[in-house]
Amino acid sequence: MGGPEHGIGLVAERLTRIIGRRHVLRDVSFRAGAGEVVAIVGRNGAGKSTLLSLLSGRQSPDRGGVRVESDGRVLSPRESATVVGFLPHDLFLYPDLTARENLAFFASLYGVRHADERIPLAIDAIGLPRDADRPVRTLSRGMQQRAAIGRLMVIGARVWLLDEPTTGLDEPGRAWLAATLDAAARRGVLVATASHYRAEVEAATRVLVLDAGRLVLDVAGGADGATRAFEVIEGGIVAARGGAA
Amino acid sequence: MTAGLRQFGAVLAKDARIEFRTRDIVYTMALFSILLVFVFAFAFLSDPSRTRDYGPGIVWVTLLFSATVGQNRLFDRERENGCLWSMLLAPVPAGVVFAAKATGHFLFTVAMAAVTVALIVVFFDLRVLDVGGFVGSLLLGTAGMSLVGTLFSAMLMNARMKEVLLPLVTFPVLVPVVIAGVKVTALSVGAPLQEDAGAWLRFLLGFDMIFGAVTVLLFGRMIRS
Repeated sequence: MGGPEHGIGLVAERLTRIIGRRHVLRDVSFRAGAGEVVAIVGRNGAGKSTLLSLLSGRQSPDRGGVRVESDGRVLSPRESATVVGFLPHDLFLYPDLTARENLAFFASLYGVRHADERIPLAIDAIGLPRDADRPVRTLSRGMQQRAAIGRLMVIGARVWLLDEPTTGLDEPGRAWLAATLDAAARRGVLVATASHYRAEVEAATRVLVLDAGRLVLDVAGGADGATRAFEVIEGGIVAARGGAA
Repeated sequence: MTAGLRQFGAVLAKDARIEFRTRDIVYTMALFSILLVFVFAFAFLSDPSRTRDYGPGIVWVTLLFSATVGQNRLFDRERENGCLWSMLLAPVPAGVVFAAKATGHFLFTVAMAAVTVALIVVFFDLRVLDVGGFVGSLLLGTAGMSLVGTLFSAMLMNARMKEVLLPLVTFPVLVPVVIAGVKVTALSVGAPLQEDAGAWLRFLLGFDMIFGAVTVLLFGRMIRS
């Protein structure tokens, strides 16, 4: 595992997002480096999707900031855009284009070299060789999810920000995703994924727990990390119920 | 090829491919424009001697309405699955996205105008004496409509009742384009006006240049906010 000074690095500094009067995210700071798989967990409404959205640049923080670094050098916004790949709930795929056409379109937008070779490889990697030429609209949610992961592969993203990526995936699909994220991390990709599932948290190298927009726990992943994370989440739920009573 | 041109081409080709597959915009625009031409034909053909007076107005009202119908659908495909954000988060200048969307709308509208204006010319027996001025005003006017309409269409993408709001915000801005277009078209078909077609064409060109620059610059900021 590399630190932020080697390979790609992502730095969040006191990220705060306020919507109306509510602090959706409050002073969240962390650093993550190449090869890390960071699971972001928390109750519904804890701020996981907002955090990923801020890290991707889709939303702007009210306070604080995000830096993307490569070998210790801070990347410009344009450079960051070339290395950060975001997979939100809405998948970023054109429903009336085929999976292959979507990948080709994004390859063209990102100026991917040798796209003709990379796209078939990505289609094989996501397990859609027979369905790649069907419009995305006609694919199941799980297949669409795979095609969306294929987009990150084709554009060569070095930071993968995934918002509950197992949505719609069956059990083999989840196993495939776990193996894919593991392989990506071994190649030096930094993966940050919002999740509710214990197995995914155990597979992570690091766990961040959000509660009511605050980062309340930052621990190493694995079984122990997952246990601690879910204890904290459960404790928060109990506290919230107690407070309400 | 520079990165901007490649990205411009990619967005334009993507829109053309989707349109070819779904025919959402072309069918709606075509149906609406042809319907308008028929309505105008039945309403005005009772006095064929005055076609030079009302023909140019019919051309521009048809063009304006059909362009607006197209603009209403322009960003629908970007809204689904958050696709607009997939482009805004890519290393693509927002101005390139805007230019490609506006160009796509311009090409659809010009294709539509080629059919509907030909129908109007035939139905109303308009004799075009200055083909250059006539075509030039249509191209420049359509470009102005595409620039203004694309910007507002993107802004209203997620608004409720955007079909109602879009004409409300674009028509006042486009009034000068329609006036200039009607003047040049009227002069092109030999209407007895004491006007200079060249001056109105230069006005249209100036409008396009100013709004082209402003909309390309504003698009990124407006769409993100």
